[in-house]
Amino acid sequence: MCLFIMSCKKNDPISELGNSNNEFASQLRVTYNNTSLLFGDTLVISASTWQRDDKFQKVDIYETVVETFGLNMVLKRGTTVITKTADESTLSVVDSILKKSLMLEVKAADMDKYWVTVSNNYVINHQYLVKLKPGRYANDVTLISKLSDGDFDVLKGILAYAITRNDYLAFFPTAPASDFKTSGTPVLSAAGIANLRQNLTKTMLAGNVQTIKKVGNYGLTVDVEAITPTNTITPSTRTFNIPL
Amino acid sequence: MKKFKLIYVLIGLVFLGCSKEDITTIGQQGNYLANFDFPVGEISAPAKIVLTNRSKNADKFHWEFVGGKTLNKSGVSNVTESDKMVPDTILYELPGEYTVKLTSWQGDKKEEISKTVVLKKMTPRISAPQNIAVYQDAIFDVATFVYPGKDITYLWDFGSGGTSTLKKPTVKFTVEGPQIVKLKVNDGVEELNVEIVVQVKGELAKTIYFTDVITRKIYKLKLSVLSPSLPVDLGITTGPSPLDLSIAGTKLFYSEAGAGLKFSSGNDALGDGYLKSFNLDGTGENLITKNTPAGGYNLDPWMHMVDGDGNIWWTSRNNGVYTLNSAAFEAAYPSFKFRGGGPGFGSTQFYSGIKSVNNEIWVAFSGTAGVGIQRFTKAGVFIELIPGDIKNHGIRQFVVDKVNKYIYFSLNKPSTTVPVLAPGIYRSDMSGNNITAIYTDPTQMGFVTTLPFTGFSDQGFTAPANSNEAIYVTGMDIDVDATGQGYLYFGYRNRADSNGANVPQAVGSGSKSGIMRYKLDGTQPVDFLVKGYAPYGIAIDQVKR
Repeated sequence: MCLFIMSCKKNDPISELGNSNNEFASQLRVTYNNTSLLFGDTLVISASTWQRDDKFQKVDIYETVVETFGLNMVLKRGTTVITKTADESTLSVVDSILKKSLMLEVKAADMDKYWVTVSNNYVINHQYLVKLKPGRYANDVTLISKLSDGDFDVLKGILAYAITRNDYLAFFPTAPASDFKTSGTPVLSAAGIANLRQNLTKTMLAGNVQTIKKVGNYGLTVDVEAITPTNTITPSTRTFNIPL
Repeated sequence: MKKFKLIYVLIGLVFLGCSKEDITTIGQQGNYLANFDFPVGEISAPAKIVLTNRSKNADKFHWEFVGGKTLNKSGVSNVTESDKMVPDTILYELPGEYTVKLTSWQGDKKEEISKTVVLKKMTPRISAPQNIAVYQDAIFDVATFVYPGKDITYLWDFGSGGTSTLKKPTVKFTVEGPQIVKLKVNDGVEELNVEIVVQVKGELAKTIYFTDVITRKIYKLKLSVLSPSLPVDLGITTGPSPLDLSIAGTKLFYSEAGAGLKFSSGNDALGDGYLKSFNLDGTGENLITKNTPAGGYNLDPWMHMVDGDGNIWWTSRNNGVYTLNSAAFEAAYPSFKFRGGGPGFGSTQFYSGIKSVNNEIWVAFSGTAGVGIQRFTKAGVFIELIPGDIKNHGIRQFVVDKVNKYIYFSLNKPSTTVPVLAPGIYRSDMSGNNITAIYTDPTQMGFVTTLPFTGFSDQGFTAPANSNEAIYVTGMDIDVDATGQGYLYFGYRNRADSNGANVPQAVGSGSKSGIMRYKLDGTQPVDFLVKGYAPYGIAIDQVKR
């Protein structure tokens, strides 16, 4: 007898949480054809979704682009500055190129076009050509003038310890000998470092650059949201870091 | 008996108490709908089509695809109907318009939908090899629609590669660069024309770089075998005495001795030589270092080389051997690293060719008190004067054939001791013995100071027979493969094209000068690779590009 009664006892944590309002979130699974993107690739976003009562408001696909880069700069007289490598970063600039923007919206009335009977899902495929969207900072010497004062101060701090004697003299032709140490690295004395930090302008630096290029990542974030009529959102987010 | 009844009642209550409404499956709650799609995009016949069933909440399907065939694991069959949720692949063999009808049921409800697809005739598609090189076989092919039972003809036009009527022709292009390939296909119903552009790549070959005292420029010439090449002006202007070139990695190095090559005074005696580097296409000029006027002409760079550590080493007229990092930019002109040594070495000597051999520095000398080739460590410590017969001869330039184990050298100052040798190009073994003449024709390589102009440039030569300071052949390099085959190249300046005791030289048309070559197995006479130039320095980029 007791055994029978025991058999009725079941663990039902869901019902213990409260009563359902009979509104159910949608299920969403997003897959990508490529996870190591390069510029020029075509990214195929495949969003599979269903909802228990087949109630949808829409499915949205968004893109967001943020570039995070350091500088690889060579001056005309032998100075090389690299502010970001795979392992460390001394100066990283963040450029929000594109805020979260809608790429594709499929409204409820159009959802049936995407129904796949075999998989019992709506399958929305979207092809996205990965190409560089220009941001605030061009990949040339003009980016120096666009640096914030704070970032430029950091850059000057790095440059002070990497600059060659000849490049320093190109900036400050009448610099006294006391701006240099007699041997070893860095070549600048404390006075030279302070002078460079105080008096080097963006224009002076730009005029002495041999080559400059951005090093870092172009971050593409894809957000997919399946939304029910009661505005319940089932999201999926993936960020692709594309080397610059 | 009552006890048993009570037990049955209780058991019944227990089961009733356990009963609840369980959801075992979650199905779609939406409307019943019949729909399907063809693949996206333009479809050409013959086509294999997989339909996408987009019907909702149906429990039975029936497909009809008249004009198509069924393709599945069993092969192709003439079946044109299916009751599957998604029919097997449908094969349409001919172009045309085809209708697919889907009937679906949900219980007693029934819906029908028909859709039409237009299959175009496949445009002939040319298939070209990934890499096409000039003078090399390239196999083309075409994929085209074939009507059953009809003959098909092809007419290809490959431009410099000729024509063909084959479906899969093999062609050889004789011109590099973009080439148009045209094809006419007659499929028995109509004629179709297609064309594509292919990039025919040039022959991969080593490249020889050379200076020219007539135009005072630096040129490069591809050492191609299959297709002809022409010298290309790199856009580099030289001084009057570009005595040597070399290639290290992707850089071209150039040493300029300026004015004042033989004993000089006045302005000619001022230091004005320099070392520069460039990218291999002539861009990216970099002044490595420059002598100062006060330094004097004896310190100007003459011949040079770049060692495996990336250091550039150079000789001066008679003031020693110098070195700097080859990546230096406008560095102060350094003091000499070392000077010559050994028995018989004195003040009347002229530093000449310099090479990196077996991680040592080898320096050639030409003078009354300094001849032959001396070996040094990289620290500048004298090792020895190469002891063979070569030690008796003034050597302006040399190059080591590391495969066949020879030293090739240009001899500007003959020895008065045996063996007496005339000016020219020679070869010895690595110990400096067994000297063999390569090119010593006195009418070409000798010094003739009387009209008509002939022989080698008389620059630095003092008549009647003093060639201590003769500038002679300063550019020499070798292209040898792993089997020992290849050529020795040297810069040849005939006196008709380059004459005068010092700098600048009076120049001619270049018709008797250029780059000469010697086939290393000796099976061909020495001849001109190119004429029309009067070179000092030459260098071979040993990488085929």
